[in-house]
Amino acid sequence: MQKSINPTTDFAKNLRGHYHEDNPSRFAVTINQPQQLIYSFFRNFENLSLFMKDLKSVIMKTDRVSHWIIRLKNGMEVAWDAQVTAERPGEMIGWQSLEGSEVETSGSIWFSPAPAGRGTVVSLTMDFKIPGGPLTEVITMFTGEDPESLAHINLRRLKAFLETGEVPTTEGQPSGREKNAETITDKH
Amino acid sequence: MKALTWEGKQKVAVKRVSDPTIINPQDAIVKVTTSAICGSDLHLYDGYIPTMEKGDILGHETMGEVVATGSSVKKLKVGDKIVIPFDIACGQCHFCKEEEYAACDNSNPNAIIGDKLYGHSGAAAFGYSHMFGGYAGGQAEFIRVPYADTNSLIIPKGIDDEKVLFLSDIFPTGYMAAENCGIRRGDTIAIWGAGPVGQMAIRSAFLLGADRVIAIDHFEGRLKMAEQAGAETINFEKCDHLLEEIKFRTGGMGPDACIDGVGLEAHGNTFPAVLDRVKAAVSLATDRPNALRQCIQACKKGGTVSVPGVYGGFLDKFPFGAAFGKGLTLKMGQTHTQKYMKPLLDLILSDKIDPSFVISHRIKIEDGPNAYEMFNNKKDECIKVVIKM
Repeated sequence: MQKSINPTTDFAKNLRGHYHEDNPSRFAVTINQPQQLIYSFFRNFENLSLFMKDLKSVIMKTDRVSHWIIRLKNGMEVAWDAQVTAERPGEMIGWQSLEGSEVETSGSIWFSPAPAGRGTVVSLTMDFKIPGGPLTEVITMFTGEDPESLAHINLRRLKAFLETGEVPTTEGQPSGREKNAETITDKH
Repeated sequence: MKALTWEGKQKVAVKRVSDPTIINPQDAIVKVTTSAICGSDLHLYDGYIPTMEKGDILGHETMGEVVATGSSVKKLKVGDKIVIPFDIACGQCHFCKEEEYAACDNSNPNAIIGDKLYGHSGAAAFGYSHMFGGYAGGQAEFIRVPYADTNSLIIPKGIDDEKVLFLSDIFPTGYMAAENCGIRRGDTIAIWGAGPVGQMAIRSAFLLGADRVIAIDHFEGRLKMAEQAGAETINFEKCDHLLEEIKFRTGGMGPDACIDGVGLEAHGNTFPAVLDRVKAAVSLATDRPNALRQCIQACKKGGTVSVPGVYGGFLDKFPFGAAFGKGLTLKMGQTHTQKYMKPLLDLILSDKIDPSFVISHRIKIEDGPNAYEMFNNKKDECIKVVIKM
């Protein structure tokens, strides 16, 4: 009997593969772009600073080892090295920070076709720990995001970037909160 | 530039702030020529919409002239006269491709709020709280328009601003509300709220082939305006038994569809309406759905209740049993403005409708704070305020 491929159940299986209840941050989005394109974009980790929040840069030291720098809102920078720990080309990438890093982080991302040509399902888990504790609070405080929201926020930004070529923002727009804003009339 | 800013509950200021600049490659900067104050701005004014921040620039009914375009803008050119839809859509996501622009997946930088509050976030909007993206609005001399090719309708030269300004919101909103009624020959449509959206819905219902339209409000000026469009009217304050009256006037059947053009701040003098005001005041419920309750109660069996009025939170005493028992269809949501702007412009250009009839006041931006107060108190039968820059 011919083996049939069922993208829907494969996608469900992939999701189940890394749905641990104790995983601190996981999310899935459907992106209106081909699976291979998204995978290739993500696999070149240097691209990630184009959309990831607070990520200043990633440098690929080798094909499997990369150097990550995040910039906190107070201007402080935190850096670590990560390596690819598992990989199925076009389907998934897993990574982990090298032992002894200031930041202990690991994650995996999965790519599967959505049914009936409705794009690609991308699911992400991210774990982010700072050995010794206090720096976690610093990061939460200065990025303004709780670690649980990291996958959610960054996947949404990945989707926006790959579908529209930009990440939506209002940073830099005018408002009445500007330092030099001058009230002309404030009759209430 | 000068801009109207939200400074707290029932506080609006005119402030001088910096001019907007291109931030993303698909942005355009528009010199605003005409802007309007919307009934839904009053929900902000009265503090009914959470996540407003002091200093936010108001306004989502805007038109003007393109003065700068980002590197990825293809269609728009400097000098183009455009109307800007109130909702912001990316034009590329699944929902935009389905012409469900108000459900855009990418335009809202704060989508995580809507994701958590509603399950899924809707599109961003101009000048309508940080939950809707926190984008600066158009009651200002200039505005930044993201995804400018999608969020614009180019207007032919020589057309008066006032004729086309309402393509930004209330005309498409009234039209979609009427379209959602699935109008067939012989249908009677009842419309709660004869404000600007209600007025557009009345005319749209007739354009879509309704036999009769019944408009319900308590402002005589608005009811007169409804009559001018051919609607029958009921002043609910002078009517002790509104639902019986509607039933009687529709031969016992009830209207084929009912439109709630009022939304979350419905006025009303029934006991549940008074109770709503008390509960909203103590934050037990956020919305006052009196008009919606009446729509459901009045509607014909198997009919449609169409809701263009804005709701934000939880409803109390929602007559779900009546809706179920009569097999009603409920259709609702923010308007997919981008979908309707071009066909409705064609209706305007072919003289089928001139939406400028709703304008009651024309002001300068400096008069903005007064205008909000007046609009909110409906002083002087204010129906629609337009700001001429």
